[in-house]
Amino acid sequence: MKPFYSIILSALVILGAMGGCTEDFQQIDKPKTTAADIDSKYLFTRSLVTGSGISVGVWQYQHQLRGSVYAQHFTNINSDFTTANFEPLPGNTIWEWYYARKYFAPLNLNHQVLKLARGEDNPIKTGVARIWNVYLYQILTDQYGDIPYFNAFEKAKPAFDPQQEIYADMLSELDQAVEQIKDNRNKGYEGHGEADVLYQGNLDQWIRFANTLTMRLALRVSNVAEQELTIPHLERLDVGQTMQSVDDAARILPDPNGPTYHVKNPLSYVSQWNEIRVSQTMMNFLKGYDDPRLEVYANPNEAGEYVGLRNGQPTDSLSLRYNNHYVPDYCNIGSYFTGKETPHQLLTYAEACFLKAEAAYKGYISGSAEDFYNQGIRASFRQYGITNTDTIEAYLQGSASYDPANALKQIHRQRWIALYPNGREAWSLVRRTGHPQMMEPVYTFSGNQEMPRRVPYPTAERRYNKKHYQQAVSRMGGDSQYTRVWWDTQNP
Amino acid sequence: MQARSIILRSLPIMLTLLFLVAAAMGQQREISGVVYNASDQPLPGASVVVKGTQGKGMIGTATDVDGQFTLQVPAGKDTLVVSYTGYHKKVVPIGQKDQVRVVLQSATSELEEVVVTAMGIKREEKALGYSVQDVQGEEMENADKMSPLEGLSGKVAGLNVASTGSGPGGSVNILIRGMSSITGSNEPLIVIDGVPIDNSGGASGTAYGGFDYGNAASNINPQNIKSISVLKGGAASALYGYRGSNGVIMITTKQGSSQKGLGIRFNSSVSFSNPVVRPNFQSKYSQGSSGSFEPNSFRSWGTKMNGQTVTNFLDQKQQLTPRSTHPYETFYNTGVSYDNSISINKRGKKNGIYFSANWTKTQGIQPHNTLDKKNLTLRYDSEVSDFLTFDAKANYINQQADNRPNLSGSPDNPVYLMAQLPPSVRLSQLQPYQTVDGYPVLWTSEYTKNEEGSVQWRNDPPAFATSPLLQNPYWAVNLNNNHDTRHRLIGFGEMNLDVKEWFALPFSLNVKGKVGIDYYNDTRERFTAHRTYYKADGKATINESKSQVLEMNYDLQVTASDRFGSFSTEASVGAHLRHNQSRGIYTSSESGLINEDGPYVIQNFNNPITNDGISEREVQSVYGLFNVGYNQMLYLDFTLRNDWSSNLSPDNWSYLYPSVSMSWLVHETVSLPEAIDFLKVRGSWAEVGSSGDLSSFRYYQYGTNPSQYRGLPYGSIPSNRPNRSIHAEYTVSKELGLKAILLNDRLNLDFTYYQTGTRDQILNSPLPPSSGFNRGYINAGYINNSGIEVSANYRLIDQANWNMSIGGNFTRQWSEVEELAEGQDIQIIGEAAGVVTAAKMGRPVGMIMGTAFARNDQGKKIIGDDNLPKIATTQEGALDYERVIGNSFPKMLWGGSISLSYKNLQLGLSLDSKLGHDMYSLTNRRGAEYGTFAYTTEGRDEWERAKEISETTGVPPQDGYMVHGVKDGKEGDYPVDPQKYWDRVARIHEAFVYDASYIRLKNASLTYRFDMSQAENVPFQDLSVSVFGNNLFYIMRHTKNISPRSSFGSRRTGIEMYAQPELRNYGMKVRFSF
Repeated sequence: MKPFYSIILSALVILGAMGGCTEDFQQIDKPKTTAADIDSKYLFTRSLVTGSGISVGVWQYQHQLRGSVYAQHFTNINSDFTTANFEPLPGNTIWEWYYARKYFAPLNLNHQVLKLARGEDNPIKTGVARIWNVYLYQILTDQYGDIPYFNAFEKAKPAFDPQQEIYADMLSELDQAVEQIKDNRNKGYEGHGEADVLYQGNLDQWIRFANTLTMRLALRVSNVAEQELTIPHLERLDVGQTMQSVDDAARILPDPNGPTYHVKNPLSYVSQWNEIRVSQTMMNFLKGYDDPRLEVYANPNEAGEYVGLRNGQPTDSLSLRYNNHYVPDYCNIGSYFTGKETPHQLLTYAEACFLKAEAAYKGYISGSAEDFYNQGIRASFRQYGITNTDTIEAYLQGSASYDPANALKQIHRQRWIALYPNGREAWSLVRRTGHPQMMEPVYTFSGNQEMPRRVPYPTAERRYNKKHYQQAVSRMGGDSQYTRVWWDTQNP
Repeated sequence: MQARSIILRSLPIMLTLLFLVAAAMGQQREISGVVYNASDQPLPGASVVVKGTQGKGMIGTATDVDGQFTLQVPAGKDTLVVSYTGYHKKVVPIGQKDQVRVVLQSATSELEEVVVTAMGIKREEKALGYSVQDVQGEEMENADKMSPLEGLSGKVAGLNVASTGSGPGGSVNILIRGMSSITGSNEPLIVIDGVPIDNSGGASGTAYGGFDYGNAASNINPQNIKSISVLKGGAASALYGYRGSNGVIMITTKQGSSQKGLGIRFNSSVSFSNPVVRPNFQSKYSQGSSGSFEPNSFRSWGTKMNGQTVTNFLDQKQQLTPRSTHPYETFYNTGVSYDNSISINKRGKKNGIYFSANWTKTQGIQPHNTLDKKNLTLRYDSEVSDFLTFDAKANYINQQADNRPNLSGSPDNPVYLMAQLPPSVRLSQLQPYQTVDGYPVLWTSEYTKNEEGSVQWRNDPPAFATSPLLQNPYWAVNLNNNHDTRHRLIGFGEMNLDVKEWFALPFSLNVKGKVGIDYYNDTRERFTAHRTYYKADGKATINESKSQVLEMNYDLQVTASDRFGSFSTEASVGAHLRHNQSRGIYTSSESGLINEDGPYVIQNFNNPITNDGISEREVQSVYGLFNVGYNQMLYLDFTLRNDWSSNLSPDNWSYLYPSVSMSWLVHETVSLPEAIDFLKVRGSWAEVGSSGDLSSFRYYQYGTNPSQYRGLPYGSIPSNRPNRSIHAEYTVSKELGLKAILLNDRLNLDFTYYQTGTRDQILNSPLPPSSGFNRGYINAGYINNSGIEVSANYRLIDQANWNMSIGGNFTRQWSEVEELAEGQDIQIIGEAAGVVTAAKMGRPVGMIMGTAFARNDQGKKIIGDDNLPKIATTQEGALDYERVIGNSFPKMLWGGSISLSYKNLQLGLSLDSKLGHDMYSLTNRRGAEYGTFAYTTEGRDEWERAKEISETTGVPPQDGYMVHGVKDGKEGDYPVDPQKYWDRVARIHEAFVYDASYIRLKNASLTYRFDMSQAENVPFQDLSVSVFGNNLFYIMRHTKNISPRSSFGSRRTGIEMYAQPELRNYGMKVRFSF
């Protein structure tokens, strides 16, 4: 009996000693194809490219399925795309692609850039990334309303912040970032250099971009926070340091030889797929103004004519008559936009001019609203190579000529035309100003006759961040496509 | 020793019998007979008693050395009771016969049976406090064409076997006692001869396509299997620790054994396969819409085909006539598979050797799909000395596959394409599949065809990647190819030291050391050809991966046993180390060929991107096992194990867990009615710790990708949220069971109740995107799984020439999601095209959710002004994608088998069934929307007629597809255009949810074994010929157009997405040995 137990016990001790050799565990578990640190510039390039929305997927979800059909630049003729009929769908993809979708996540990538840049005490890299951060967040909050902003990426289940607070912070971030760059620009700090694919490290252009963004943001909240935000920020603004020419435009060049379709011109795919047709609303304005941009914006139909399609054709007719009616009879997007090298515009000089025109008209900045208006039209024409002075002057003297009595309507209308094909921004403009007047779609899902005001929250936040989702929903008064975001108050 | 004790024990009986025989002289009837055992050996000394005679009046005798007996039977008595120690008692009716032949079944086969339990420890089955179910290799042999694990379906209670329906060599997913982890693997551990093997891989399909490369289990050669034991509960698998928490499937392969003759055996079979279930396509209505023929339409809502002449997409005149051949018949071939193997099996005095070579060549039903498998095994064992034995095995597997079927939503999946093929388009019109200048030919574009048969564009070349994604099926199988190769080596070496023998110890002491290796090297490549229609810009793409995995397992185990009076004890302690290393290099390009006439190799592609993946993990363990038995009546087992896992933080990487189990042999303790031969009650409680799938989740790491945009590199951030505080998860399982052998060993019953669940699951849980991560690791969740398992075997006929037995097993299972991550009441498990399967609080795991019909308070469908059914919406007015529309968790599983033999002829039949669960079918959704399925013809003629009447009368059409529901408060049938109806319904997921319950004839085989003992001058020892059929037909199914057993991806049970045709397989087999 005795040896039986002693042998078992000693075996246990020996084996126990063998089992506990865990010195190598840290080494074994350490990732071998990744690193604990990185130069932020690699993340910044990626954030700029993915955040520009150049990937066809991002473009489709933000523009083709939402902004562009709500603001009636386009309508869809693929029967799977029912948002043109105002079908309420959860806004999953845009949200995911900005916050956390693998290979995209421009917000998250830029958040890491900011952390790394601050970690290495580089005020230039930090300042530039702060400007970019505002550009990205503005896109998201305008579509959804309240979104996680202050604690995003830091908590597993971050709280949603009120849009009002986000806008206040974004505007002060722009101010501070510009100051930060100005204060430190000649102190030998290294910028992102060629990794900065937006402005190639040109800090003047970053400052102009920031100041133009300030106008975009300040005007957007002018119905709700004119005294608190619009006036203070625009009073402080140096208009001379906003975008001064087409060269200052924020744009990303497609890479026709890139390894993935995410860096190529999205419109070339969409046009090939024959899924969108130019909206009748847009076509009416272009024809009404005898606008030379007509032939740039649209390709003629098979009969050689320029025909726009009324928005929201009935879904069942789409599946029945897609190929033999909608495709040949109505106009596809113009070939200029579908070229392999056509730049992808984020914020154009034309938009900058119309922002100045509105700000000047309302007295937020000094200068002549008319001059800014005319500059905007010229800038837009120049963007498309329309440089013939006679053509331009004829247009400026024609039905589009500046009329002080209808100036705001005209400014907004021209901005709406010039924004094409940036439907997302056009939709924000229509929501805020009510201009131009939209046409009722031919067919809408029952109970959804009106233009949607918002993109509903994604399912993933509702499922996995339930508490904060519900806080946001009760604060905003719902989560439908008709729940209005904070700045959207005035128009029907 | 044993033989002597049996004789000694039976001596008193024999003497008594002799006495009684003498006393009972002069009776009225004489009966004589012979008593044999199952292998036809006469049994001397067996007792034969006339039933109903007892005590002094007992009439009986014992058999002589030749097993013969003679007995005087009194008038009115017509039954004998024959018994023999170690054998089951048998009651023999004699009627008016004067000669009988009695065969006794050895009781040791069940009662004293030795089973292999965890860590290869051999135990008497009666001592086990948990259920272990065995399947013998012979039962699996006719399962050739399926993976050996597929063959377990319906054979073992509590086992849920699902195949993904993905062609030859596809994977098989197994769940033992339900799904316990929401995101982790629920697959049982597979152990071959004590070596755990890597069973990863399997179907890589997502909703957008993929392939099924088969999991490890499909690499096993069924011919080599001696037996399979399924360890179900936690206590059964506790010694395998963290890897055994989902149960263990232990496969024991053959080793050298004594054979008559040379020990060489050949096995040769040929089998054929074809689809069991084919979609029921409509054949009468043409391509087009609204009742008119359109030559380039995607859909089949055209005119009724009455011989009209039209101009088709090839610009040719075509007469529209109903399709007479099912497109599957034209497109798919009959699958053929050849399987040849040879084995040499020999045992000498001190050593044994087993060698086998197996070659399987399979041609799938899809054109150009082949699978070639070679499997070589060598096993050698030797008694090195009296106290030292050695055993080693090496198994090399080579597998090559060409053109595995593309799965799910891939446009290269022919099932997807055929669900959309208009009946007026003949497959012959899709060949040639390319134009003269190499562009695809599709029924949705315009071509002209010249007299030589070559095809040209009528207008411009196509816009690539137009939605919906489409493809010519012949282009898919001829040009968009894939190939993969696997080399795998599985082996072990084991030394066993009998210390007792060596040092002459007073008790038994064994030391066992073992090293196991599992190495595999996979090369996989696939490409889509230049100008593939659904690719952006028609650019060629390529994906190539090379990966290798090496897993080493080291074991050292010391076992001692001794007896103390009425107590027998055994104790083992062991240490285990598992080291796993893998590396994979993945290269891909979607930027097209450099030289368009060049080969599809990586160097001929623009912008290839390469990624390297390296992972390494290690787990160390020590364990102890102690069991004690009292008087062969009561057994108690205790186990204790501690693991150290490299993927956890130092504070948490060590975790300890115990198990206890008990077995009580009631028949040894109390006297039971005669009908009960054996009765065991067992119970167990076990906890098994686990560190999940050993993924690393402790570090936030940045990565880099080369040249992503204008030559600039991209940095990358992790998509999984690191968590340093993850600790082990624990699976606790409880089990109560009963085993009984009744009616003279004729009826075998086993009953088990279990309850199991995993707490603090290491979940790779989805996170809100605003966290910056797609998923993150957390410890949370609990699914309560419980069930009842019953298995029974009954030998109905047990005679010299005739034998018949029936067997069955039944499982009723329950599951309930009791806990999810904090603040969550739902978590998605699988997703495809808007339909999800989910873990939802308070419901069984695997609820199917999606859009549903809008219904009123009485549950009637609500019909809109357009007479179309309305879709349920949320309070916000949005389409509600989260309606529960089905439950994919099967309530009941059962299987049954019958085996019947007459002399040398043997017939076997087995059934398999899963009841009480649903599935969603995307194939049906597409076929309905496109008007290609037969059920979409309902109301088409009526609608056309009604439309005509309506045009003249001006009254809306009064006939067509009649939609039943409530419109403006009135219930009735409302007419609509069938095309519009199915267009609407295609958006309602609920409409394509089917009851997936089924009963199928899983297997039938007929074998004739030639009796070689009578033949002279024949070199054979054994020759048998059999015909077999697997998966022959469904006795019951409710799914339209698809098989109820199809699902895509291993986690997406409950969703069918263009599943490959499920195959029936039949053939014949010859076996002979020298």
